[in-house]
Amino acid sequence: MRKLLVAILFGLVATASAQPAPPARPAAPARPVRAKGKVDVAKATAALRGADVAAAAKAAAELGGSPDPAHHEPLLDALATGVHPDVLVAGLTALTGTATKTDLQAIGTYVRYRNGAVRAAALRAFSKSIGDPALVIESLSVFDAPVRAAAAEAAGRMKLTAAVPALLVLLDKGEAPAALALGAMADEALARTVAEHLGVAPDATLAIALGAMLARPEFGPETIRVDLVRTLSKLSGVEALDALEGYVKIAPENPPRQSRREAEAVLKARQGDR
Amino acid sequence: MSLARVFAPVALAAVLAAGCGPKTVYGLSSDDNNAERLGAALAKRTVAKADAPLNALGKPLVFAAVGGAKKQLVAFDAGAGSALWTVDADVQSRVAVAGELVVAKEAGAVVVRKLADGSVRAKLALAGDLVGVTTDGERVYVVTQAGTSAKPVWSLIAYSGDGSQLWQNDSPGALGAPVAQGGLVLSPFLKQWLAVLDARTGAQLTRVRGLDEEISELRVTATAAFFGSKSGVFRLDDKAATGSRAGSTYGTVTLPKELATADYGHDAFDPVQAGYSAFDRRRILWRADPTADGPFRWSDDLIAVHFFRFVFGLTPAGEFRWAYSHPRVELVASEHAGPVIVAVAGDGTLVALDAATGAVRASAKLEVGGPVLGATIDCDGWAPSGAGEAPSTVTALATIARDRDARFEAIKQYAVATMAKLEGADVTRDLVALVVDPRTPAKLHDTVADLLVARKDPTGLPALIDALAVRPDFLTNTQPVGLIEVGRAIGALGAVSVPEAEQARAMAALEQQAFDPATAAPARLELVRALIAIGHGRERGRLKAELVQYRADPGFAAEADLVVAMTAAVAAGGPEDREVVRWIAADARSHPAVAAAAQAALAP
Repeated sequence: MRKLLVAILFGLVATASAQPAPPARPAAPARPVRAKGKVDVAKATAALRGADVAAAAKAAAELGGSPDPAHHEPLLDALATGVHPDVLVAGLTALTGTATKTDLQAIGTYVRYRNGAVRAAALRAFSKSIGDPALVIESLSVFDAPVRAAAAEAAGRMKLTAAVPALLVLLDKGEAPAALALGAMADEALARTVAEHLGVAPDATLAIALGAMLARPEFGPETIRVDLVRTLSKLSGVEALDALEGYVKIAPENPPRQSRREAEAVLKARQGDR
Repeated sequence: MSLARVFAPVALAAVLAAGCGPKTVYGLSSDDNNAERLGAALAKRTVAKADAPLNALGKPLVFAAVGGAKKQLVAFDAGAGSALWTVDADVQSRVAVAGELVVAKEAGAVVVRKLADGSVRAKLALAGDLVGVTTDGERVYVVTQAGTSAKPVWSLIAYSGDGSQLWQNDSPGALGAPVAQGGLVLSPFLKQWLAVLDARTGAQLTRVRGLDEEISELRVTATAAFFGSKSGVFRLDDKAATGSRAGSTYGTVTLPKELATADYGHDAFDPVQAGYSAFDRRRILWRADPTADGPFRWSDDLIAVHFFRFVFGLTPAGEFRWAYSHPRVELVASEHAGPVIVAVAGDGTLVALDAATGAVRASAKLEVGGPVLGATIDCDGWAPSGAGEAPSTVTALATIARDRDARFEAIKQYAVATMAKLEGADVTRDLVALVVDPRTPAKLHDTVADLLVARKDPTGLPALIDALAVRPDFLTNTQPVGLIEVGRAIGALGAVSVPEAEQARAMAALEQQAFDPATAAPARLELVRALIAIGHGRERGRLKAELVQYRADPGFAAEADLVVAMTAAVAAGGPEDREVVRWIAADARSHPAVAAAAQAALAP
């Protein structure tokens, strides 16, 4: 019966045009469920099949977090046959660092799940492992904030330039994850583009983006760092001060940087703002 | 029986008892409904053999009263598309036109102008409040009300074209605005009688008494005269002497309820309608063909209804034929001229609509310095050379339905109901456009939604599918609209045959929206129901997958109707389908509500 249900759900992946294209799943041999390391696979499997959601979530986290791909098998079965969202979140989150190619097909069926937390967890697991640019960009435009946050995080990590237009829109809408993503991927040109959103994007969000850029040790050259510090000096709110403080902390004292000096001067001048 | 018929004799008896002068020709007792006398009077009448303008030039002319800072009267030659003349004039009544005369109340007097150039020929002082004025081209006839509130007196006075008074008839009972034709003056009296007077002397030749309805509306053309009320129209012929609907040449039309406030003509007793008013924007436009002994016959078996900016072509039974929607400004005057319906808009635009099709056969623009307040249209028989292009009925109705003017809600309801009776993909597309437009008023939206479901037109399926193409997008703040209504409409097509390719397209579109995380639960329910209805079993694979994936999700379980619909649809399938449902019902991880629905679906 379980194989039938697994086939149904995987069949959904194969037929639904809206689904992402996961890597071709190799013919999945029926692998025995084996306990390895500290994971009691038999016990966890039983918990996953039971009605106790908390126990099942704990078991999903244990199985998904195991570096042994064989331990994932009961979790994959659970994903294929439908379990409580709490169990899904636990399992998918655990798989984020351990997912194998075999796991990705099951994870892929949840990247458009209706529960936002589940969807975000699936997106994180999926994008961290496979980095599907189309899926990431698509997920930036969904109405679920946690999903957008996960997508922005993935875009920043992947330095996905194709996502920049969407991230800039989100920046203007005041979304901090998008600001961080832009901060993580910006080169000099993108930094200037982001700085031009002064007055359009909320000050706090723009400060987060510029601060994230300045926080990167390799970010430069000095001319753009100076420009960003000056832009930050025009922004209201503690976020701008946080960004400047963060930059002063990581910027080396020597050789002396004009950007650091200007940041210190702004902080001194705005001491009373906090 | 109208109130007028009940009270008029009593009121008249009272005023007569109070004592009136010898000039009174109106009375309670008279030789009413005398066929011989009416026949003789009508035999004296001279009428044209064919429809033609009443003016001496024989041209289709429009006389427009213009308001604003500089009040004017414009005589416009519709055939030539140019003004005949324009004069400064503060027109305060309808303009009456016949022969060489153009007559209207201007400021405090009735002014007689020459047709040729609009110059003043005579000014007639008014002895009381103007009730109505008319002309037959030879004389001018003015009805006024004077006296006191306790003892009012109505007077019908005839003048020559040069302003000399020829005769005067006084009445202690209400006289309406008269009309004149071929040597006769038709004078409505107390809404119950129509006095037929000798135009030369004012002597009463005969009188028609309305037995079945009041007499409050009059109309003359070059060839015929009519009288009647809001209820219908009597032709003034020999049979009118019966005074009854059954015995007369009597016609009435059945209007859709949304247009039922339109009138056959102006109320001759209403002082407001002595001038141009909103009543001129809500009219039944009609002509009648002569008949020997037969019943009343509406020309070409068609009438039209002018309703502010819109004109509808209808059969006398109220069946829709065509529609015209005038852009932006209201039509302030209209007349059925035979081949065309002539209408004038507030901005001076003149249009001639083909009476049979609604096609615009001619259009022109009166150069006016202010708004056109009203117009008298003397264009009978005018047949513009342009054939015009028959308008798209659907487009015209859709334009009416989308109109933003809140006064026209009932008309919009009529327009969409009429649209829904028409076939074709365009109709569905226009109805869908109304449903998804957030500016569509709620009541109209609901009506359109119901009509979409009821029409079950498979040719409209592509339009419905297209309506599902809008995807939710946070970046552009886009949300699909009307999913519930479109879902219901597609679902209704489950009972009719649709091409397989269209069915597949519909299923794909429905699935995409139904299972999108951004879709709200009520919409998902209707979309899934539509999927089930139109899928005829092909949807079970997807439904099974959804059931399996969400069976433990409390959010899904809360969508009780959806769960029931999905489990029932899958359980209606083959053994493998039922096995899945059975497993969902039995597995401990299934949400109890989902398990219960699955169990129920399996019940025989």
